[in-house]
Order: sequence, then C-alpha cells, then structure tokens
Amino acid sequence: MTRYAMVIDLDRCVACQACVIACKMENNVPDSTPTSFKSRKMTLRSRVVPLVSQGKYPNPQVDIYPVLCNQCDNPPCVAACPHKATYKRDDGIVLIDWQKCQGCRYCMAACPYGARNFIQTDEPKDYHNPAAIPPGNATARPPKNKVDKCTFCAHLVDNGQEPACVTACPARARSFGDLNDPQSEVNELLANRKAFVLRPDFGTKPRVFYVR
Amino acid sequence: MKKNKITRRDFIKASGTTAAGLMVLGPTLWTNPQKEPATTVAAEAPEKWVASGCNGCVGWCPLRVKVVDGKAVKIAGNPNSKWTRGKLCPRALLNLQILYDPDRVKKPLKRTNPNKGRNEDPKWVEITWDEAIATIASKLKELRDRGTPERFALFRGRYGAMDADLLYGRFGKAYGTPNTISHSALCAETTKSGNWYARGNYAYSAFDFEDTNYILSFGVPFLESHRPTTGMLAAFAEGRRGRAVRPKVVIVDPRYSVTAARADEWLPVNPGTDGALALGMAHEILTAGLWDRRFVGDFKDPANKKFVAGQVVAEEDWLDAYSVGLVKWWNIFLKDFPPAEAAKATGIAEATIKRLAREFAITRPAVTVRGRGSEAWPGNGTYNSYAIYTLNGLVGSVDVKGGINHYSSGSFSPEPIPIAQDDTAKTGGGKPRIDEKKTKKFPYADVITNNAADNILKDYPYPIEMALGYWNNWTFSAPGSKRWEEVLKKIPFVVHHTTHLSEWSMYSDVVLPAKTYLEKWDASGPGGGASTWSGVTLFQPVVEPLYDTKSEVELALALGKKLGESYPSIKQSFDGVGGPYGDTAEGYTKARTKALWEKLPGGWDEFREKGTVNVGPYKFKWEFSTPSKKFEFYSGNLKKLFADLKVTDADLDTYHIKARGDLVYVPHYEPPTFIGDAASFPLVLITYKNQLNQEGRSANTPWAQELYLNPLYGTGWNNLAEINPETARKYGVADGDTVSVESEVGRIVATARLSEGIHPTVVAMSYGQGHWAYGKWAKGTGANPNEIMGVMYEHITGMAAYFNTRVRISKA
Repeated sequence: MTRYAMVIDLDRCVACQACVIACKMENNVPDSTPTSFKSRKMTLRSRVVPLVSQGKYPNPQVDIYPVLCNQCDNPPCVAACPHKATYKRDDGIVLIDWQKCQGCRYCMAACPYGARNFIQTDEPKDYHNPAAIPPGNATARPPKNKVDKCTFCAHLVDNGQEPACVTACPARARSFGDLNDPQSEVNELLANRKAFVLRPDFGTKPRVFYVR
Repeated sequence: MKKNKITRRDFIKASGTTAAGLMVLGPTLWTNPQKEPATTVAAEAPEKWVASGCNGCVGWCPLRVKVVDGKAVKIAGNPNSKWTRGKLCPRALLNLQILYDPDRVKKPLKRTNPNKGRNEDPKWVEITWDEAIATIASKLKELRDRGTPERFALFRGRYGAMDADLLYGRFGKAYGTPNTISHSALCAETTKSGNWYARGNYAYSAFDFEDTNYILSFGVPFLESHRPTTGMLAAFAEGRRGRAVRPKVVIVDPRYSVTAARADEWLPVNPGTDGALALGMAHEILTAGLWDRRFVGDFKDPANKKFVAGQVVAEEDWLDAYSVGLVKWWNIFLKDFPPAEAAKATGIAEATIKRLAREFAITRPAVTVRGRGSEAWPGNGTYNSYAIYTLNGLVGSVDVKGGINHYSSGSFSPEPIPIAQDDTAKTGGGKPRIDEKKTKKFPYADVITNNAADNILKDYPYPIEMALGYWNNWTFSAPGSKRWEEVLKKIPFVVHHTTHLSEWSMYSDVVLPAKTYLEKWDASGPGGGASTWSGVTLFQPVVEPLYDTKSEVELALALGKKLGESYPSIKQSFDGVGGPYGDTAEGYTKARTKALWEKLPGGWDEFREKGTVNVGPYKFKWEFSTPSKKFEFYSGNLKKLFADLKVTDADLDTYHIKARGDLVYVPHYEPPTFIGDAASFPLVLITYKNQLNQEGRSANTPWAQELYLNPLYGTGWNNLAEINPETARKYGVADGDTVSVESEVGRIVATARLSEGIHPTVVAMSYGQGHWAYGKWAKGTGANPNEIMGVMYEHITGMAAYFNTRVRISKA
C-alpha cells in the first residue's frame, strides 16, 4: 500500500514562490482581485508565508514556510464534511469530489491549517490546463461555490509524475514519495534530518513534513 | 558525465544514514529524478513542449512551454541548460499571464487627442501596420531630408541580442542618429566600473556560487534580483545541502530581505557606506597577514615585515605577484582606515568587521557580490564597487574555482551584410549625443539614460523631434520619473513599441503592439553568471501570435525596408540581412546563431528542439586587461582616463567625488551624498526589486500581485512603506497606517509596515508598483517610489542614483 508524503527542506527553500505559481498554473486555480484579497478570500492552494517573526532590530528572524494542505492521516475536514464530498484515498491523498460538495464550508472551519479556499468565480482562463482533472471529478477548473484545496496533484501522481510544486522548485527543496517504501527519498530525508510537522498537537498527523 | 545521471534518490542512499553523512557528500548533482517529458514531440500531436526563453530580466533563461491545442498552458525549466540547472525562477512562470493578458495592446494605435497629460484620454484609434509604418517612415524621412537625422532618438528598454543588433544598432546607424539610448544606466552600470578598475573589463561579473565557500553580498538580495537569478537560486540551494562545505552567506543591506532571511547573517549597514565595510575588512586582512600571497605578492622579508596600522610600507620591501598597487593603496589610504573607522561609518561593530574579515580570508574560496544597493550612489558608488571587488583580489578569489570570474556567453555569427551609411548617416551619427556619453561630465559612461531627459527638456545640444521607444517605460522606472512625462509632452512625435499601454505609451502618438517573449524569434545569452557555465537561449514562437503584433526584429525589418525605398544605403543595410535564410525574424536569428547550431549534429532543428546551447566551463586564467596586465589596487585605467580628459578639481566636484590627488585612483571611503537636507528630511528612501517584479512588466499579472509580499509580510496587491518600529513611533505612525512619504521632489502615499528588519534611518519600498497605466490590475496598485526620487548620477558610469533621496514620513 502506498502512503504519499511530502518533505520540504527549509534549509534549501529560497522562498521564491515558484511552487505557488506552478500550482496555480497546473491546477487552473482562480486568481484573487484587490477586493477579494482585502476581504481575505484567498485563492491559493499553497503559499509561502512568514510563520514565525521574532527578534528585535538588528537581529530579526523571519522563518518563511511553504505551506499547503497537510494531507493529514487523521483529516478533520473529512470528519466535518456532511456530504462525504471530502474523502481520503487509500494512498493518503485527501480529495474533494466537487459533484458532492455543496459549498457549506464546514471543512474550511474544521481545517486548523487554513488550507482550503472557497471558489468565488468561474471566470475561464486562456491558460487553462485541460489535463488537470483531479480523480473523481469531471472538470479541471475548480467550480464556483465549491471548496478547493491541494490535491498533491493526484492527476499527475496517478500518472507517475510528481506534484507541480515539486517539479517547479528551482531549489529542489521538495521531495515527494511513498512513506511505505523504505528506499524512498522522503524516508531517507525523515531518517537523516530533523523532521517535524506543523502543530502536531492538533492530532491531525500531517503527511507534509519539514526538515531543517 | 555518468555522475550527472545519478538521481537524487541514489545520491541520498549513497550518503549513509546519518545527518552528518548528508553533509560530506561528493559531487554536486543536479539531475532531477522527475521524468522529464521530451522537449518537443511531433508537431501534429495536440500536446507538445516547445523550447523558448524568458525576457523577464537580463538572465534570458531557457524554458519549455507545454502547448495543448495551440494554447500555452504550462511553463517549465529547460533540462538542457547547465547554467540554470534546468530550473526557472518564479518570474519566468509569469510569462503565461503576460501572454494571455487581456489588457495587451492588440493593434497599432494612433493618438487623436493632441493634448498630453495623465488626465488626458489619448483617444486611441486603431490603425493598420501599413499605416503605422508609413506614418513613422514619413516623419523619419522628413527629419533625414532636412539633414537632421540626429533629432530622432531611439530608446531601448528590455531587449534581446538580435533586436539590439538590428533595431538599436543597425537601424540607428543606417538612419544616422547617434542617439540610441538604452536603459542600462537605470540598471547596473556602476558594477562594471569596479571590474574595470581591478581587472580591466568594463563588464558584469560571473560569481561561481557552485564552488564557493563564502558569499558576502553588498546591497544585493541575490535570491530576489540579480543576474542570472535562476542560476543564483539553484546554486544557493545546492550550497545549503549536498556539498562538502556549506557556504556561509552574509547579506549587507539596510533592509532585511527574503535573501537576508535565508542567509546566515544580516548586517544592516548605514545606507551608502558599503565600501567602508569592505575597506575596514581589507585593512584587517592585511594587518592580520591573511592575504593570498600567491595572487597578491608578499614582503621580500616576510619574517620581519608586516602591515601595521598607521605605518607606511616601503615599496621596495614588497614583491608583487599577479597584482600591482597594493602598497600604494595601503600608504595612500588603507593604513589609516582600520575597522574602528569602518565601524563609525557603517554602524557595524568593529568586532563584527574584524570577524567578518577573518572569516572571509580563511574560508576560501570566498567571493563578494556587489550591485545596485551599494553602487547606484553618486560619487562614492564607483569606489564602493572597486573596494568590494578588491576584497576578492586580496584573498585570491579572482578567476579561480568558486571565485569571481569574467563572464562570457556564446558568440553569435557576424551579421551577413555590413551596415551601409550615406553622408547623411555619417554626419548625423557623428553629432554629439543627447546623453553626453563619454564626455568630461560622464567620463566612461556608455549611456546616461536619465540625463537624456534633462537635455531634451533643455534642447541640448539640439532639439529632439521624434522618439521611438521599445520596451522602455522611464516615465515609471527612472528616478525623477515625472520629468520623462514632460519630455514626452515636448517631443513632437513619440512612438512606443510595447506589449501594454504603459505610462510611456500614454504620452505617445503612435503605439505599436509588441510580441511577448513566447511569440517571437530572438536569441540571447545571460548577463553575468552564477557558475562556471553560461550559454545561449533561443527564443521561438511557442504559439501563434495572439494579436496583430510585431517583434522588435520585425519592426526593424519593416522600418529598414520602408526607408530603403527612399535611401539606397538603408536598402543596402537591410536587403539580405538574414543571409541565406531570408529577411525575416527567423531568418536573421538563424543566420546569427549559425556559429552555435552548426556544431550540433542535428543543426538548426536540434537547436530549436533543445532551445539552448551551453557554453563552458569557464577557463580560469590570471591574465588581466588592465594597463599593467595585472590585478590593480591602484587603477591605471582610471588614472589614464582622468589624465586624458584633464579632469580638474571642479570636475571632481561635479562627480560628487571628494577625494583629491592619488586617493582618487584607489578604493577609498567617501561618505554618501544625499538629496535633501537631513533636518527637513531625516530618513533615506531605499528601494528593492521584488522577486516577482519583471523589471516592472509583471504588474498586471494577478499571480505576481497576489503573491507580491507574501514571504516576508504575508500580503499582496500592494507595496509598502517599510519602517523600523522605533522610527514609526518617533513619527507617530502605526502599522497599516496610510502614510505620506515626501521628498524635495514630491510626495506619494503608501501603506506603512513596521518591521524589525529595517534600518532605523530608512524607509524601504519595493520598486514595480504604483502604475497609473499598464492595465487594470497594475493601475492604482501600490505607490511608485521613483516618482519622488531626486536626480543624481554616479558620473563615471552614468548610472542613475537610486538610494540617496532623503524623505520624511507622516500619517496621511
């Protein structure tokens, strides 16, 4: 049985956001506008943000993290969805079936990482990528009034490729692979480096790991 | 070559199971285990990958575009390129939204409202290309037939090597104007001067980040903007993990940038004093006896002689190796500039400067990076550049693995036919230029972009009656940008070739729609370097051009052919310019890149499929092109230049250079020169180039906008007036307040952001926002700091000063 995971090397990461743009490009994620942005209606499946800012001048320390859906082993969003639209595959990838999603956003409230977005627009894009249909869905474009999230690029992974953010990273800061394969790069990194997840106290068992 | 085929997975497996194992690995490997699709597949297939390039900066990185049913849907790195490691920086990805931006100029436009101003609607009317070219040609003809071709100015912004030669070069020369003015002196000209004094090349540098063990960067957040960005990102990351030694990275900058956040140490230097830090380090390296004897030389009696602070060294006691002038430099300046003096100037503690000097000298190869933040300063900018460069010489990091090298990309084939000039062209081309290039006022400048504005306004040395600008927007990007609005009001006929209706277009009489990078033919090699590899990128159309557009090469061909109908010499200059491959953009590009593709087994087709050729690796040699043919700590080039021009003390005053005598020719410290008095304007406005800022051209892409300031500030669709909390308290400003930032020149309104990563005497703002045109997303987003900057120059190179305007802030 495959158990997918991602390991992000914070030492290599250059905080350039190529991963974020590659994700939007691959998955046809809609864009924000100045107005929607102001009301904090985010349209990003992944982000690169300052999670910790500490220290006083001249010794500030800003820890910048790439963040995305943690693809939790114990996903609160799945439990919260009244329509069984959000589900976890056997390989651990948490997906949304847009045909079942009613847009109630309980899952968004349940996600402690703020990793889900509500889609406000169905404005088509010329750079629409027709291949990006997440498994179980009929459309490549996240539909209006549904909830959207990172799929680990399941449509690519199922095709033997890696998620778009992994491929695009100019710093090779991201590794993707099978936790059940002792030879996998993700396991090698977890074994050899100081690894952690975000907020383990939530009990969500993230499958996105960070190493320093 | 087999090494490069080991996947990253194998690499980690081979490393053993401990973290320490990871740190002591052998060769640097960059092959991505990802299954890369072939660069191209059969043209008939509905889905294919096409190689082309990015024109987002002077890196000209190769890329691949996935095209499905004739639409570009994805941009990825080109695995054939060694100098980008097959990767791309985030800016290159924005090209998809630039290509498909609905706000692009789609047809040639003619202005029908003769009044020009920010609030004047130009009342554009669409015209055909035939009409546009005929209109432009008839104006050009009018000037030429009057015997005043020099009154036509050709302004160049971002470019590729092909159009630089054909439009900026060939067309300008054949027509007969000396006034081909590029944007370069708004970019990084001063960086060339440090190189020219020390090693003799007036050029950018290549930094071998892949093999260096210490990176000390002065005023350059190189993960965000330097050249070539992709190579720097990739090499930096490989250095963090996967090499035997983890290079230490130190960022000297009044602002804590993303690069500073990712570095090992940040040193918030007083603005404009970077050179003092380098000089204090140099003093420490010499007194501590840590210089590289093999490169620099040594005392004839090393056991009994040394550099002692304040004490003169006798020249006859010293023996040079590959350098000259060290003892002169010591005696003229350095002996009296110990770290304690440097500490006073820079605000960096004396102990820190000493530690830095020792680290830099013993962690070899160590390299310094210099750039706009330390160099785009009047007077002392060029000495900062020289001082920072010479640190590399002291520790023997010049032209070595892991050091600072001469950069070179591939060579193009010569143009198939020579440029013909009739008497009109020769006379016009021989007239003095409007920017005063290489005059006594700007002694070594190739171009003084910003000075053209003031001279056009003064009709000096003669009036400019027509201008053609391409891919430039100095009404937005130059310090004192509003002056350029007056320039464009004054010039009777202004043509702009552009992808978007920019601030420059809004003052133009005819606007010509340009092709984006993904729609045109061109070729370029990267400026600067981040490793020992360089190369050339081929630009080719990845999709059918979306609109009725021409590329710059096509514009040159159209103008050349049209004017060729009237002037035999221009006809001669353009007929057959593509050689055997035809007078088209593709033909010209093919002819000029022949030297590169004829070496490939598959020739031109293989070049098109691969999209790039690698050039390298760089061959190190301690041979320099200075007058002494050695590395110079006392600049023979500068001394000869000033002697030839008979530079007087009054001239030095004009250059804002305070030194006199021999001090002028050595790296030395001069306090920075500011615009505005400190009593009325207590703070200094510094700007930076955001990661997602394609030289100002990405402002209409939602991708850039919504991510603009995310990594440090978690926000987008804006730029901010970034200030230290202590400074903010002093002026009654709170985080998120709307504040007025005011200089002698003007006032802008911005959102305040309090940050512990800002020097208390500065206000920092990102360049690239505050458009009042350029498209619906760009317009009105953020504020443009260039509008309130005063105008000064680093006179030797003509570079515009960008960091020396004093401002005050208050709650708006």
